[in-house]
Amino acid sequence: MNLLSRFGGRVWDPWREMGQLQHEMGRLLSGTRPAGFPQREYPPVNLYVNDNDLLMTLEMPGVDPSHVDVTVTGDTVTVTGERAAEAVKAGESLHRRERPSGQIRRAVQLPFDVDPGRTEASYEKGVLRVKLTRPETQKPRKVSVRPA
Amino acid sequence: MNPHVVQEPPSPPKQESEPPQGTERTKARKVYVPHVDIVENDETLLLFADMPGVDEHGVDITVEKNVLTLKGIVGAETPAGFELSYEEYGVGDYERSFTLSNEIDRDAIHATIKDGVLKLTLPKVKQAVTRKVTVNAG
Repeated sequence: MNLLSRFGGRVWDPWREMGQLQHEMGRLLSGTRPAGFPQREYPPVNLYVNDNDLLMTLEMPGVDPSHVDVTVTGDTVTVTGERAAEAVKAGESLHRRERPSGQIRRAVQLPFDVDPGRTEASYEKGVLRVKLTRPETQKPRKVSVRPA
Repeated sequence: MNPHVVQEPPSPPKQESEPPQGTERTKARKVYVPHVDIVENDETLLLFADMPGVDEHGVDITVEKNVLTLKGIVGAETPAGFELSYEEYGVGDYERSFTLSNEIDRDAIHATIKDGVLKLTLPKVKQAVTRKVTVNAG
């Protein structure tokens, strides 16, 4: 996990909190998991930021985008969908099954509120990209310091 | 006819691919091992590989002797104008090799890629036609 700390030292890191919150939510929402196997969240999520926007990318190849739902409320983004496993027809034998399949559900808590009306999502080459924008009222404003 | 297959638990994180013994990679890019599903029927072997971020221009499939190598190149790691701030998966290329048995017809191998899933069709060699040899009195 990439924990950025601009100040170099031990500073309160909002991303670490977010990571912990995510794991909590994942545990609550994913239901049962095979005993003893450390289950990672599926699909994995990356977050990119700049001053105005946040870009969330998820690796989920082979999914029908029309069955994917992206919901935004306040500071939480929820992605749900389904990935069907390749059907093995009669007369065929399965040698290997490594690719994950089943329900897709990720709820990600963001470090700031975003404007649901300005959310854009696209699915290309198996990667879901969700672009979230801060509401106008909450954008950080620069304050100029006047000399006394 | 399906043999009992052990269902693997949900996938572990992406594994980095080791370069062949004694060699190193020239690029600094990470290379991962794509997850695959392999299905066989009487005529063909089907291989599905997860390579998110790869399109038809980034796929490279080679067969050398009896080794099939799949490679997938992805685009830029970080989208322009953004800074990576939380990372659960690494962005990198894909590579995996398989040994082919003699029953695969190498010249007939073909592939398609859609939504980051590479589908490889490996037809089996058609059985040789038995011929009758007529013997004439010499």
